[in-house]
Amino acid sequence: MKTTNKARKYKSPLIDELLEETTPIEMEQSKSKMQIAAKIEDLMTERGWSKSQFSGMVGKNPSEITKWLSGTQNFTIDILIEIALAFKVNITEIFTNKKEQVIYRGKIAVKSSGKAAEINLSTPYVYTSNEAGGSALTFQEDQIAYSSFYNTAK
Amino acid sequence: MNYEIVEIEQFSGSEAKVYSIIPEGEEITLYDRFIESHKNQYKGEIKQINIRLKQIGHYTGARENYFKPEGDHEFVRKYGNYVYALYDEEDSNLRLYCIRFSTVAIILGGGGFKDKSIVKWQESQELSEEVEKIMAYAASIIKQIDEEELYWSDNGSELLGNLKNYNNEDDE
Repeated sequence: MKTTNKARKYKSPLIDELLEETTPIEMEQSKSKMQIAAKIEDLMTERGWSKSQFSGMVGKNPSEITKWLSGTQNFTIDILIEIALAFKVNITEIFTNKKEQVIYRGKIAVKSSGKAAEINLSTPYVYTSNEAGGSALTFQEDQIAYSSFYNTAK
Repeated sequence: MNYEIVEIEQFSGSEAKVYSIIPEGEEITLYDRFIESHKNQYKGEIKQINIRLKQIGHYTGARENYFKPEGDHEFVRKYGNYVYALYDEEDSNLRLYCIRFSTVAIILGGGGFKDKSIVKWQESQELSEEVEKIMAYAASIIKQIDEEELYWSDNGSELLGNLKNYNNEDDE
């Protein structure tokens, strides 16, 4: 019989000590960089653009796009305007978060709401939907562990 | 290879579970060991890594673009892309390795100093040891999943099962 143990919670004093030294500004700066990166990725996904296609539209090398998407880029207003123009969105939309659903092999897990919904599917996807009801499906690049054993119905 | 997988309370959130590993006989995680080893010299870098891990757990999930695939060809051929390094800030000199399961979970390992002149982890003895170590843990954890000792919760967000894996005589 399978054990249903959850992982033991581990509260690291070392992490606490360093997080206590982190200012709200540092936290917010990092959060914004990562969320802007996520937004750009979502917009590329919605439009079906690869990194190289998008890099061509904004006149950058694909390696620059990789850096943008890494969540470490300190974007300037000029760059954000270029990005917004490429996507034909208002610059404020770059700062707007969307809910994300991750669909796994065989099931869907709605990550941003408390209660998980399930839909039967045959392949893993990332499913994004905006507040107006628009949506986009993209192939998820990898699977969770061995997919044949990753049956959420267990 | 005996170890316990623990959930790091400060980082884990609604968007991704953040775990690390405590080898048998030790008290702290591989990630804490990484902090201990480098906090005096690279405190700023570690603070940045902590902030990013907290964002991943609570707000963004473990998006692949935040990570750089690592591991050698043999590992990738055998298991797939599971070993990653967290992308570092441009001026950072530290590299952190982890096992990534899609956007929903990461298991933190250790890492080390990465001179900007170093392109591949194989060029540094410290980084090589850390990548070899995280590949060994990844292989063992994937084997546990393979054998259904470990599995994912119904909503696919959490590792369950034999998380205190102290029974392995031999993983080979």
